[in-house]
Amino acid sequence: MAYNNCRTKEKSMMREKIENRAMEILQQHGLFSLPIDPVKLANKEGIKVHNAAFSDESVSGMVARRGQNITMLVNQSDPPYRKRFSIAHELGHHFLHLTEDGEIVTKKIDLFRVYIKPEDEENEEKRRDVEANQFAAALLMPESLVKEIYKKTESLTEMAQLFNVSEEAMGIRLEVLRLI
Amino acid sequence: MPQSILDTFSQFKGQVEEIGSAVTSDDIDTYRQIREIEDKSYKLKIVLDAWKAQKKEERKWRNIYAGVLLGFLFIQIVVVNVSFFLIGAGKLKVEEWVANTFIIAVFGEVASMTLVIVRYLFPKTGEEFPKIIEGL
Repeated sequence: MAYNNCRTKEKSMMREKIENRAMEILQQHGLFSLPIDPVKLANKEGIKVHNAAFSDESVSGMVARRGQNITMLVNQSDPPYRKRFSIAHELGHHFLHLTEDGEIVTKKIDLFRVYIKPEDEENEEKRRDVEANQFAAALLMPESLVKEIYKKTESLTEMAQLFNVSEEAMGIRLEVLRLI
Repeated sequence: MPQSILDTFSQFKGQVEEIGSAVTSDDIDTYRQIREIEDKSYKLKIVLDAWKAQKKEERKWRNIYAGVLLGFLFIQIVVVNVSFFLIGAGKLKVEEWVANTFIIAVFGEVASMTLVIVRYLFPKTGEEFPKIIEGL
């Protein structure tokens, strides 16, 4: 029981850290206004973002780092909302995990998972994906802005339009922030 | 496919089939796309409403013109028929050439008025409206 409480607290602290990091990055680049533009952020970071066709259709994106050369690929057949989220997700990997040369591939099925299942806690890859998702959500839907706008309108559709995200992503965000 | 990008993803050669164009902010701005569609549909609605109002007004005036012209034609026909029978019955006496000219003139008048009604009051439906829509 005490172990579980400790893990929950740890996870919540990690989420808070990611929220703050995303906020800092947005403010640093002067992009803290709606709708958040992840392509602009990527370009300001010197990251090239390209459309790509993958042999495995379940791949939504990948990011690779070779020294100062960082490139992101997103699935060209994905709709704009999904691409936005994929780019924000890959930015999460860039800021949180890709500190040295390497590459990360993201599958569609992992895109909206914001909590790690107990059985996956030791799985490094899944943990990184969950963190990147938390970062993407925090980047595209900053907590302070979501809370501020939620006071004015409780319409999920309107909020999704304002933040330029899918209603599904906005719904999950409101739930994570305990607004619904 | 840019070589530098290919090199970066050399490890994923099997997975990356093709590298396309750079993603721009506009490509992923769904809100702007929705707004553009809404703007276009709003403009289309305004044009359509104006078009409908104009057509309604035109139809109203065409009906009035057609009614007046047909009324005149009816009077002319009644006059020419009555005159014809009166002349035939010997109750109205006019020169033969006057009667012939009068009947031919009325016939000409009827034909030209019919032409005016058909040609100008009921014009062919053109491609005006599709052109306006294309211009939006």
